[in-house]
Amino acid sequence: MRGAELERAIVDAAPALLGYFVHRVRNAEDAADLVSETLIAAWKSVRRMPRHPEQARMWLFGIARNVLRHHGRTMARRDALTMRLAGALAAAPATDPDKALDIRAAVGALPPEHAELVRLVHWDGFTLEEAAIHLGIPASTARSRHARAKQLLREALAPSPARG
Amino acid sequence: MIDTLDDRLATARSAHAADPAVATALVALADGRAGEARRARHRRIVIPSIAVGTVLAFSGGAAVAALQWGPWDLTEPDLVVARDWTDVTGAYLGSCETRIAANTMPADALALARERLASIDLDTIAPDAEVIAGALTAVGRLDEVGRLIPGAQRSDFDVHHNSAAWPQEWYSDARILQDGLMMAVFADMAGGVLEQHPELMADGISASEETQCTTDPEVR
Repeated sequence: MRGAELERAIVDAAPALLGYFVHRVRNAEDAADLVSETLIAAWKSVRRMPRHPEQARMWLFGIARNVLRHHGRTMARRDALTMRLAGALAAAPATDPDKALDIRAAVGALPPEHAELVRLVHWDGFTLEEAAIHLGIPASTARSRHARAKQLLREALAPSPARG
Repeated sequence: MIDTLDDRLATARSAHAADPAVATALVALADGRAGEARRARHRRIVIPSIAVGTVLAFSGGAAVAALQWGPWDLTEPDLVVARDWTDVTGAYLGSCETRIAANTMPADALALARERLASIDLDTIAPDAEVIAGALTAVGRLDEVGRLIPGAQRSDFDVHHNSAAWPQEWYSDARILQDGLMMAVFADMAGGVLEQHPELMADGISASEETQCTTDPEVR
């Protein structure tokens, strides 16, 4: 990819990166900060961005993961653009809040490694194989972990037995 | 059997990016960061080494560096990059060696930087074209860019040099190509470090570098 294509690829990935952080942090300002930091980090190392679109996407999410890992250690850069995004996020209506609340709570209650796999596959659009690469685990481990995570979710979301 | 759990999980997926106000703000943010990167690239052309925070350590006088091999100040490098350079026709331009030490970084990033430098595949890294164009501009020879970069033309670059011209005897073609290569190496190393240590972005990261070049193939 040439410079303009690299730039387009990063801009196009911004919505998915935003979703990644919205699923993992509590408030809109943090999500906006993290997207901003990820974009900055991506530009800092754009020369290493893979040429293949799927590999480029994985690379960007790898940066996002590292930025999230270090969240709180760095001073957030809240310029006008970041604050504008944070404000829009805070004002945006949540998706089916009633339906989503119990699902998100159930995912959040999973063991962390299971929860992260569910987020990657069901919310960030990763295949199980891509998620395994992202997490640095064998694909077979991801498959068994995913199956276990879904089993735990079914149990957690099952209707409570009626009281007699 | 239909797995309704997948459907339920899908309902909890964030759709914030589809909100028009969020989408607009997000595009503005992404474009803004891209614009900053473009401006940073332009700044790097004017003073190429400063942009990545390199601490340049040259041995000997400026004229000597281009013409003969001298003693090294940097005696414990993490990476040595030696390269014989030719122009696009294959004519010999000179030979250069650069030594890099990442010892000016914070301790927790140092090991990562050294690991990164050790893993760089120098055969696959091309010299930074913008650095080459910037240096040629500084020595007043941008018209010759096509001799160093295949297919390149002066009009391909938006380059400005605002201070005194660099000495021609120091900035040989080989030296300019070597500097372009080292910028690419530094960018690769810095990218790897900043991915793991984004907290270093504010102040940047630095490394020590010493380069010697000769235009005489018999000197080395």
